[in-house]
Amino acid sequence: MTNNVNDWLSEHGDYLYRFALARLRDQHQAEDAVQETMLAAIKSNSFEGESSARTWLTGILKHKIIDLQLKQIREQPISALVDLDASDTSMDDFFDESGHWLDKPQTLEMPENALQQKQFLSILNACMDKLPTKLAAIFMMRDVHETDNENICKELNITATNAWVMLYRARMGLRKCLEIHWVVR
Amino acid sequence: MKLKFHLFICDACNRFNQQLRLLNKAVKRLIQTTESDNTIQLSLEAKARITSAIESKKH
Repeated sequence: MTNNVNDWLSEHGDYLYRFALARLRDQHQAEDAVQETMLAAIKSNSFEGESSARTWLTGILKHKIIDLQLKQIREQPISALVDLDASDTSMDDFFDESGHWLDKPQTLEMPENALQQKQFLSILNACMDKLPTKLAAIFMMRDVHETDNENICKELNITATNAWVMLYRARMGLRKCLEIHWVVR
Repeated sequence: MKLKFHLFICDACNRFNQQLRLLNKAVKRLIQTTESDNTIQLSLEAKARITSAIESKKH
């Protein structure tokens, strides 16, 4: 099995590294995730060749990435992320007494081809880097990996409202950053 | 049904929804760009470290 794993590292190591780096956005964490994946592959010894080795390894890596992102979030008290004591967190931050938005979302102007433009992607990249690590992690877990909200709350021992507030702040932080730095042409 | 009706009358909520979809699309595009960039590779040091960790599992 270890011989296979050495071959897999040569054949798929770089791909797995890029996969992890794109999601963890940290070189050392991405390297650790690849290493953990290879070690888990040895331990599980369950590859049966029904899917390709790359697909199987990527499946393991996805779990390792989520574990690392949960660890990132757990390292800081949730109350520090929502700027409020966890039990006091409420929707009141965002809506007035009649349920209307306090700060109405405005239209984010963006040309159709923006997603294809290198400049836009590099601004988005910089905006992601500016997000607090833990908010970026919950954003990636929820919006990119589409991890179930219930699971996130259970793993982090937070309420659905806390999760919503953190996610909202991550999304609005990104949106604001793009609004400031992306000039529509 | 209630949510659909609310979205029908709430412009700000619709804009919020559109922004979420756009952000989601943009971040996924950013991820694809990194994934397909073949110039990004594990460093030789990292490969050596991982190989050594694999070897140590043998014993």
